[in-house]
Amino acid sequence: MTVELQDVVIRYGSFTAVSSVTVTLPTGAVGLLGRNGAGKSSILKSLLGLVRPTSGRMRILDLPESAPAAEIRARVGYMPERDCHLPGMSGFEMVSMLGQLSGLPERDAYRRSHEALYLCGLEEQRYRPVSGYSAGMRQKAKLAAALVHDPQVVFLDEPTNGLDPDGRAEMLRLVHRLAHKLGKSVVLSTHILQDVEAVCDAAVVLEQGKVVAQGRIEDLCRATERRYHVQVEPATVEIPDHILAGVRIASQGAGRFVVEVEGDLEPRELFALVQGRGGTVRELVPHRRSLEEVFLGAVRSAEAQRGVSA
Amino acid sequence: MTVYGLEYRPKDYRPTSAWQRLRPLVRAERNVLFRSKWGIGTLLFCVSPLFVRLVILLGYLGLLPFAGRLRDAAEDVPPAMRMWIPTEVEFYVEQVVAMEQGFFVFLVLTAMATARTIAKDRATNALELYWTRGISPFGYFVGKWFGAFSLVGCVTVGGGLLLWLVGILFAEDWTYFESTAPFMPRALFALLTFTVVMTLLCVLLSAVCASANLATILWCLLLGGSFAVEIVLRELLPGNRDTTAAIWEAAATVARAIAGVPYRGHSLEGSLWLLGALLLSLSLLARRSLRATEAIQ
Repeated sequence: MTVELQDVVIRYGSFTAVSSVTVTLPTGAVGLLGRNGAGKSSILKSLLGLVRPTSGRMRILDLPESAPAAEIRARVGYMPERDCHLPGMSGFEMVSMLGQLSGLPERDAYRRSHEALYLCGLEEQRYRPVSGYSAGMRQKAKLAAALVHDPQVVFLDEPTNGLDPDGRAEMLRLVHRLAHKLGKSVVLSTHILQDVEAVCDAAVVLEQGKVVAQGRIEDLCRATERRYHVQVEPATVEIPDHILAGVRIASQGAGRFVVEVEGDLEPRELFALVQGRGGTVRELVPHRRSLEEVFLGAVRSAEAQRGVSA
Repeated sequence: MTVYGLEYRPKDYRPTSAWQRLRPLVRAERNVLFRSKWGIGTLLFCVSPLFVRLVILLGYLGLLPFAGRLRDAAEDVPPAMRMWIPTEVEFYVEQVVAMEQGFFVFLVLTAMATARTIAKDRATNALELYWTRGISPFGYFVGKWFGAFSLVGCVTVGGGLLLWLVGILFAEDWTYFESTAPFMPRALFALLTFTVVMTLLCVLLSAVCASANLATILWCLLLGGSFAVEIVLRELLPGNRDTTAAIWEAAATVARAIAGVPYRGHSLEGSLWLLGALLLSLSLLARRSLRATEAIQ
């Protein structure tokens, strides 16, 4: 367990940002998904000890609930979303200074910042002023600063923001390496679903301060309705909409179609039918939902529930 | 052969204390002028009056050719000229607090370094990086202020102390020491108080400004503008000769009172009230603008 929230409520005056959230983030890489204002930042703020939850219990790693904020931040690394740097400093100076502010002794901070910058691919640019870095290099410098004090958990807030496709792929590789090779627990707060799908093992979807879906990505994306992707050859074979009893075509195009099945699909019947029309089934695979579909489905069902209760 | 690797690996360490964590902040702020040619130029400009005093001191001690004339002149000087005599308290205090002597140097030094200290962090969103570390906003402020104070104090308090030590070391006998020792602790304390108050005001102002340039401009306006206000008030209230509205003069009055240097035209109470009110109001504004909850948006 990395983080455990139990009935956590966060209010700013009369506005409720997080409403009775109960969730356990496992070790590994976890995506915190949600639209703007869903409550992601409020949860991060309170986990970092910047905001006290109105009610509920919150634990990070094995630290007690009453642990001082400085002790929490010594075990947690945070990479902010916004473009930020320490003015007038080189990458090395910035990372080593932030390491010292996190509690690293001076000598360790110097050595450690070399290692963190090397890990993030900034070894050649570490003595250049950060103000002259490109967007991608600044993101890497922020990541190095988040890792310098060897935290067990790393909160990454939109790490691929403003990066070109190459930079984005590199950043995701780094995040993947952190979680799967270096043994860090990564909490990736983002609204880019592909990023979460690429590097995370689990996801939590937030909507208006509530958890609307959570679990391992594999489980979340597993088909709930019975759908199959079918590819036939040649592509010109015509298949009727209701090809078999209890089986209908949901979408079709250029030799590929998706079938929805009410009961169990009997592949032999399908193969025979296609063969009867002069074609061959080349591929028959169960449909796997994308994380985007999971996200939109969860958000829409939450909206529908709110509409019913209203 | 690998001398040492740069591979990222687990690290066991004992976290440093809260006060030790402020050291890098203090060091970075103290060295801020050494990061650019402009900064070094500014520092050299700001210590140049000190060299003038040093030449006078060495001359007075007989180490330079015009020693005799200087000593003769020092025998019977009018009060206004005492600030040029090394055995007078004014020599050490007025070089910093007198409008004609120290104002411009102090303004340049603080405008280039101190006034920008927190404002530039805010402009580059560095506060988010600081406050998600093991320091509190108060600790951050203390570290920044102490760094700024160390830099300015090197020129103000350090300058006075340096002159005194040079005088003791280079004097032929103990006469110089005997004539300066009675007032020197008070003089140094006065300079210390002056520097603390002025740097505190400057860093507080920096904390409430959104950009470094804005902070610099406001600081210049605050020091220069308050002089203008004082002049206007004196015109409007001709009967009251002790009107205190200029921040610089208020701090100088307090420093002169501590050092035992006569101060005219300003009241000590008025100066204390003015500085106290300003410190309080800027502290409240800075406290609000440095809230930790603003760190992540």
